[in-house]
Amino acid sequence: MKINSAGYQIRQGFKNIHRNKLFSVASIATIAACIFLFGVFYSMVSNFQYMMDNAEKQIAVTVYFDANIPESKLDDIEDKISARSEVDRVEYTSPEQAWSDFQRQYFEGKEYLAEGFKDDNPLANSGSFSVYLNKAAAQEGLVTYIEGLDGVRQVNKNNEVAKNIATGARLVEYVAAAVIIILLAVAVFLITNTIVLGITVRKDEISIMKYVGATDAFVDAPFFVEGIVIGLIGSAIPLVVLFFLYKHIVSYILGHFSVMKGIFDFLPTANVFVVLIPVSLILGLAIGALGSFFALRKHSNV
Amino acid sequence: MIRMENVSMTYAKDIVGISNVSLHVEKGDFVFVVGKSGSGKSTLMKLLLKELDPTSGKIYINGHFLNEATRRTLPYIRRKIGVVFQDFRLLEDRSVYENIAFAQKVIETPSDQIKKNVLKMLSMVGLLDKYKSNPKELSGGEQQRVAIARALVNSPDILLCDEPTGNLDIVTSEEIMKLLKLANDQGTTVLVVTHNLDIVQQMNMRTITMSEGKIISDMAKGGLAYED
Ligand SMILES: Nc1ncnc2c1ncn2[C@@H]1O[C@H](COP(=O)(O)OP(=O)(O)O)[C@@H](O)[C@H]1O
Ligand SMILES: [Mg+2]
Repeated sequence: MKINSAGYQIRQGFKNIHRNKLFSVASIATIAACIFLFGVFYSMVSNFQYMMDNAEKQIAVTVYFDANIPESKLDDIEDKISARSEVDRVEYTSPEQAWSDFQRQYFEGKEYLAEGFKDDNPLANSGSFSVYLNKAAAQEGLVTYIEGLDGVRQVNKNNEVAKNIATGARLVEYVAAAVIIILLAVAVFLITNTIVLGITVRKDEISIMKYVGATDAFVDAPFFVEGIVIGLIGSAIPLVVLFFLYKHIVSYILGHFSVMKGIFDFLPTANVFVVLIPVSLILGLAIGALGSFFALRKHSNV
Repeated sequence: MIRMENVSMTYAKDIVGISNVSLHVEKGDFVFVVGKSGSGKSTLMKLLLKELDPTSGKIYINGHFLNEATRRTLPYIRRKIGVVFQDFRLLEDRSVYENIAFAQKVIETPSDQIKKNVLKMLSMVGLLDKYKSNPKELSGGEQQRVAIARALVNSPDILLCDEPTGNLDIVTSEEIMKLLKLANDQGTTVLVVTHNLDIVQQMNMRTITMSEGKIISDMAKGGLAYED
């Protein structure tokens, strides 16, 4: 294809869109809805994952020891646990620390209750390690390992939280993927019909083109332009909307629910959109090109 | 220029388009094809354009073996074949000038040449003053001149016309035939399907008669039996 006819093809493509305004708008709207939902799901899932990563770092396994365990043995256990790759860090809580934490938590304002214990620490055997993980899913294996260590009396795991987070994330991803795939199919179907309509309207013109010897590529090009332009417009619109929505929703949540601040840490807008923009545009382009392809394969034999 | 060897074409079971047709047309010939309605004249033209494929037999056109032309090569073969139809087939969403220029644009002729060629064709068919008009504003004869200009603008070696005067009165038909003869005088090989036997007689060119899908006579210029 020569360069001066590329301009012609592009003009023809836009003319097609203009001629089929109603269908073009319907196609753009469907693609926009599709990309919008994709963007919403993507923002949710990526934030969810981000929060999960953070939450995972808060999950600790608590390790208790045999009574009267020697200091050297404790060091040995700590070294062995720290050496594991799924372990983020290990914190030691001494029996004295555990007792004073307990008093602060339960005897606040009634310190006299603690008086009865005097210097006799009732939690003398409650020294522990808090083992922080860098991956919640690795908890099970780690617990088994620690339970097998010499001198370990008991391991308290945090199983429920880890499991809930993992399955929750998985479920959101599956639902999102299903909805997006259905919408993609609808978008391709609609755009195919829009272009078939364009081909029908231009039937006489196409027939003349073929009689005088236009190549298939030349005849098809405007319809690809049409599909791709519809796809790109259809993905650009929701991106703009999502960009502003995201910024505002995140700052609204952080502004109005200050409790959230500690628990939820949102991804910055730039981090979300550096992925969302190219993926959405490519998706829109692919939907458009695919629609054109299906339409032409069926209907352009003259 | 055109050679058909034992060509048959059947549409469906028992519907014969043409049957065992052999034909040879030399470069620069002017040939009339006549015959009753349904005798296979249009089928013959469509086979030469590869709108239809023969059921059996071989077709050569302008040095190409048409049976083996592909989607990729066919456009380039068609660029050297002009076509004119009974119903003109002009595009009514654009002017006379644009209708003719369209044929050049879609085969990617450089734009400076398009203008020159279109004006040349408009002057040949005598419609220079109507270049801005819409086809709907023209008479039937004028519309057919535009269609002929469009068919000739890419300088084809062969011009195929299927009943070009079928919708026109006698006087206009004679004018159109003169125009086709002019194209022939300039070197284009011309094949004209027609019902108009008066004009055929008057012009006295090679004439092929078809009946029930077969060529039943082939008269050379001057009324003698044509010898291939
Ligand atoms: N598209 C078609 N499908 C089936 N039969 C056809 C078709 N076109 C033509 N025919 C048949 O083929 C025969 C030749 O037709 P055609 O070539 O159009 O004749 P002509 O142009 O001489 O009137 C006729 O019997 C006609 O009915
Ligand atoms: Mg016919």
